[in-house]
Amino acid sequence: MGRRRQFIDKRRATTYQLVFRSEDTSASAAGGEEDGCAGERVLVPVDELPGPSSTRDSESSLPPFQIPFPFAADAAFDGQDGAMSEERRREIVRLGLPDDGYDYLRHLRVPGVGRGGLEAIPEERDAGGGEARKGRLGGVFVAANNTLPLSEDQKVVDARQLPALKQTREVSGEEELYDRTTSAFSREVKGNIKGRVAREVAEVDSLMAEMEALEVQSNCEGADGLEDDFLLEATVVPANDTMGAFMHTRGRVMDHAIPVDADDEEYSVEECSPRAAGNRDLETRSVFSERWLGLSEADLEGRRERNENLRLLDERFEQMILKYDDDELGCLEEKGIAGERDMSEVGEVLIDIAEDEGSGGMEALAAAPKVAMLEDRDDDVIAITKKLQRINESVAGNGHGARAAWEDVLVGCHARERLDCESVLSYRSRASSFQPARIEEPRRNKQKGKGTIGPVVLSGKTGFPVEEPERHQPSIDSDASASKGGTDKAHQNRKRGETTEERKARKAAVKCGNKEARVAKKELKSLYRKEVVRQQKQTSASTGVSVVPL
Amino acid sequence: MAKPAYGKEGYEDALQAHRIRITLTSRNVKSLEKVCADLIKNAKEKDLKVKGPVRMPTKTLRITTRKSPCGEGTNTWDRFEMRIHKRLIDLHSPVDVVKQITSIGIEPGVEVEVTIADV
Repeated sequence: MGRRRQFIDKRRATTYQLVFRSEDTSASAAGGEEDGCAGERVLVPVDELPGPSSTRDSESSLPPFQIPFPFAADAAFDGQDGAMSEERRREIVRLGLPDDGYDYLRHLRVPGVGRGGLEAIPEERDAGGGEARKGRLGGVFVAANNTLPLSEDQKVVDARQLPALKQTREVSGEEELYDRTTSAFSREVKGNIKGRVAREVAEVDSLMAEMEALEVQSNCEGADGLEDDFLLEATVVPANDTMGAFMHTRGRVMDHAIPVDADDEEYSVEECSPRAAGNRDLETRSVFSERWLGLSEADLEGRRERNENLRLLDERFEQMILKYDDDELGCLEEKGIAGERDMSEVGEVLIDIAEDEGSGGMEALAAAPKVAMLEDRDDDVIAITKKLQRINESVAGNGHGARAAWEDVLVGCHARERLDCESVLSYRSRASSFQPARIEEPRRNKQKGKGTIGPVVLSGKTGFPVEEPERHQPSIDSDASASKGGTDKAHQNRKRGETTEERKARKAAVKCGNKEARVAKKELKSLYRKEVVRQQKQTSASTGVSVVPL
Repeated sequence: MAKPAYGKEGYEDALQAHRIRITLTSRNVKSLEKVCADLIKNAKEKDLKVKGPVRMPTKTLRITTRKSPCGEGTNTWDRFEMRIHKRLIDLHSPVDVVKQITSIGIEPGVEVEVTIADV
């Protein structure tokens, strides 16, 4: 039989291998075999790949333990194809590795680069500026300040070169009036303000002037500029009441006697200025005025402005409070506002709602079963029960007709909480309660070696506790303990698959142990007996009885 | 050396259907079967004549060594083995199409070899 025609004649075929794209392979595959879509892998002729795969003819020629298809990525860096490039060698030396011709770089991984090779990034993709050097596998290292390339609509601006932003922007009149960046009101009112805004500004100006006058006056009086005005206003007295005026000004150090008047506008600013105060009689100067004089004009100006701002703020808050202090709201603590409702009205309210919502609601209400509320009296329950009985009888007698009436009546009995013994007990869960049962003797643990101590039984003769054979006794004799330990060991040492000799030996050891235990027990008993005799002799000696029954 | 089947010969040559054999080798059967299935699926989507996958006998490399490093103790042995699985897929298609087909995600550990018969 002739040989079947082969699908591919290897002698007239080219074999390509799918390898990871790398420096070397991309250089060799530059002819046009590169994958246009820049994939990870590329088909490379096997003949061009360095390493044993290039000399491979067929799988059968390989020795049995050699893998027929070595990874091309590793083969690409195999140093067998010839001398390394000079650059590579320099890098090896720079890293401090021995310069013996072996390519140590293939065992080093470039940070930021995956296994295998990476596509060499073309030059134009390097970030503008900054240092960039090509890594071993084509990776590019870029300094941190130039990480990403900029797109067309982006521009790099160094913020250090920019001037600081000043408040020279043009603002509209209204906007400036409500400029609240640093103060409650703007300090300067610029021109070009018209209409309603202008009127408001004028109003505010007048208010400010008033406040200023008040404040200056209070400052002239020597008080601290931050003291609130309303205290003064509240305690102000009429001019003819000199005593009141004295009382009013008693706590203040005054430069000069200013008759306190309700109408403060009389006093102009100039009279109360610090210069004016300074020009007055030296004797009337006070500590505060000196302090006042010590301040510079700029400080005073700033202080005055700050005070007037605060005062303006206060005024605004007062206006707000007045606006929102609505009488309709009232005090919430008063009784009657909390919303009390009599529950008897609920039914009527529901009916109203149902009627409002249309006929649907009424039908729903009518369809709902009527609930009869009963009082906590047994008489009612009895009456209802009798009624039910009658209905039942009628149902039995009539049939279907009376059933509807019976079903409509639902008895809801709200039993008031009766706290008597029976009810209290019944509230508790039966599961957790103690069920009365016959009290029995506790079971004795009959298992050996458990260590449980049962009821102690005293001997009639000796009065001492009777030793039970199954009770574990602590042995005094060391030999006994050793033998016991030995017997335990004999038991424990019983291993699987023991021979007959071993078994015999083990059993002999057990017997020996038991014998020793018996001997020890006998000794203990004799000890006890001796002790009893001795005590009886003692008692007889004390009482004088000569014969003591043993 | 056989002249390359594609690249410099021109557009018509690139479109001509060649006999192509794709050899897939791996130590992991699961990934190998997955890659095979993907390749065949892609090839069928492109209406190519596909044959395969032909499963070649698995080559098993066995190494039996003593567990003990020093030779003392009970004579216990370790049995290591490595299995190499191979699949073949035959196509009739132009070279460009093959490149597209093999541009799918290949599982790691699977080696792909493409043999193109010269016309």
